[in-house]
Amino acid sequence: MDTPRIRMSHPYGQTPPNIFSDHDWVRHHEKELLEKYGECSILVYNEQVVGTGDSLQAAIEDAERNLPPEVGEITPIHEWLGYRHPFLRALPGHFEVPDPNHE
Amino acid sequence: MTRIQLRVYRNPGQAEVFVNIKRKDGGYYTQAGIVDTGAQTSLLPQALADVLAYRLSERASFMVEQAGIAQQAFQAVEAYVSLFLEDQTGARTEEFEVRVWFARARSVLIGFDDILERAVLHLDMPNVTGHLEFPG
Repeated sequence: MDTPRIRMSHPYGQTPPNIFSDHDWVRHHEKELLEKYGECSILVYNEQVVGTGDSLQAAIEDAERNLPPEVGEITPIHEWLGYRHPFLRALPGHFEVPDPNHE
Repeated sequence: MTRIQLRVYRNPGQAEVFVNIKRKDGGYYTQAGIVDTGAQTSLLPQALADVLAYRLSERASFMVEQAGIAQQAFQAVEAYVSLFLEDQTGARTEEFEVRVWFARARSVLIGFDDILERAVLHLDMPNVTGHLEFPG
């Protein structure tokens, strides 16, 4: 999963501080990110998208490929960008509801 | 008692908690998991099985028939992973073992088995805050 410059792990008690702020950034910009990138895996570091792909591994490889040469090791977060389906738990199919004004 | 702050969001509403899951290389992989009070067992994307340290349960791979209200079947692999929860203040739980299902999922879902069943859940949507309290 890790590459020479993309580090997705850390020792106990040494969680990179950007993990929390970058997560909030993604949540607060989810709509714009979805419009720009569509449904995909996304890597974000210091409030910048550094890689995208159809899987975590693809996003990591994309980031490694596209990082400027002068950038050293980074600790991005991974999120799945996806449209929310608020009624995901409803059963598929059709049903009729009586019109309460015509009972 | 350990108090772990949740990340709480509106529109769409969601409460999440950071989990650090032990990897095969001894490090930890951090991901925000959705607190899912509709899930008995926590769910992990199967792609993470490549890097996480786990042991299979006796049940191992099986089909979950008519899962949830959607009544759709999916494959799951039952395993045990070691993890701890953490928040942005630096609070963290002890590391503990959790029974999880690896499945074709996009997100980490935090269910009751071994996690929520240990904790008191506070969710304050008007103030967009919340936390999990783990008795000490």
